[in-house]
Amino acid sequence: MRRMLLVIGTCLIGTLLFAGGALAQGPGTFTDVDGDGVPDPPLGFPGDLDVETGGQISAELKQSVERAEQLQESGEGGQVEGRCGGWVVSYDAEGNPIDGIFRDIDGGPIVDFTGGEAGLGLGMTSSNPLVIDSEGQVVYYGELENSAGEGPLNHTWAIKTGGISLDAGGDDNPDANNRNAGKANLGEQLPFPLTGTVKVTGSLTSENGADCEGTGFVKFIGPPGISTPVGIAGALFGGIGLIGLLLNARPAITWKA
Amino acid sequence: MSTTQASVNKHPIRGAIWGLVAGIGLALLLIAYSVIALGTLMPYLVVVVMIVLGVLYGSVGPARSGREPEEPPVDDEAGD
Repeated sequence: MRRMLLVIGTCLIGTLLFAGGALAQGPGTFTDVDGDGVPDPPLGFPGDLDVETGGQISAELKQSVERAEQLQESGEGGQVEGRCGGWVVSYDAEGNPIDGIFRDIDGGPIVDFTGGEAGLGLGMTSSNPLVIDSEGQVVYYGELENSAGEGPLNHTWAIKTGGISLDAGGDDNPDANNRNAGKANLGEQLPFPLTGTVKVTGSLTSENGADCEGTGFVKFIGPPGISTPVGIAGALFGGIGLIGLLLNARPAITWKA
Repeated sequence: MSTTQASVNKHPIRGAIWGLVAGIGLALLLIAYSVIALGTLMPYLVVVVMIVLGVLYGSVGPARSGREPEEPPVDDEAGD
């Protein structure tokens, strides 16, 4: 269930968000509640016991979004289908909040509630991706439609980019939970720091119809790109390819008697 | 008296292969620096463009000039 919500949150499948009310305080005002060096949003202690608080924050964010006269639009992407919502707040390696998104379970777009002077804007778009520090942490809250009093039973979920599976899983969810809150420490969970922007698609299906699907852009920040495995591989391939072009593919004049 | 003729050997296939390798590398670098997004068409376009450039380079790029064979020395005693 926790992974399901992480999917929802991180990939915006689930409509992650974070926001309004939290925004009103400003992302820099969070304090380190649990003493792990990372400022915690007004969620308290992220985890299974925080769903009530997470829901309250969602309600505050919803009010903030409804009060906004107009959302700043930019770029493509950032779409969610299905009755699912929630919020996500990302922190850098030093524990400073850097970005946050929210989506109302009753529908509507993904909203970046850290829009600054420009106001609230659409989130997870190509020009306004959700920024995540690959050495930082992500706090999330997600919820799905409570179908007939139950959460998604026997659900499966998948995260893809360009049709390629990044991760997948599922759970029978015997407790019929339909919401969760938690924290992911990317610095500890990722095998190596990565940078770059990724268009991700996430989906969750269940036997009782509490389904959700979303697409959006996530920008991972961290060390300089050339120092990451992806950057190193790119430099090697690029260098070898250019050398091969210059030395092995160039036309040559030959002489025949 | 013998004559020599110059011909140009073109390498479009080699150009395509090395263009593919260079294109993958360039796409990875652009992704790592968030210039283009993984999961969109852009990385594929970068690779295709590099393949095309490789084919063009292998076909109509500046030719490497080989050494023209020297005329065989005239044997003054020939025919004696």
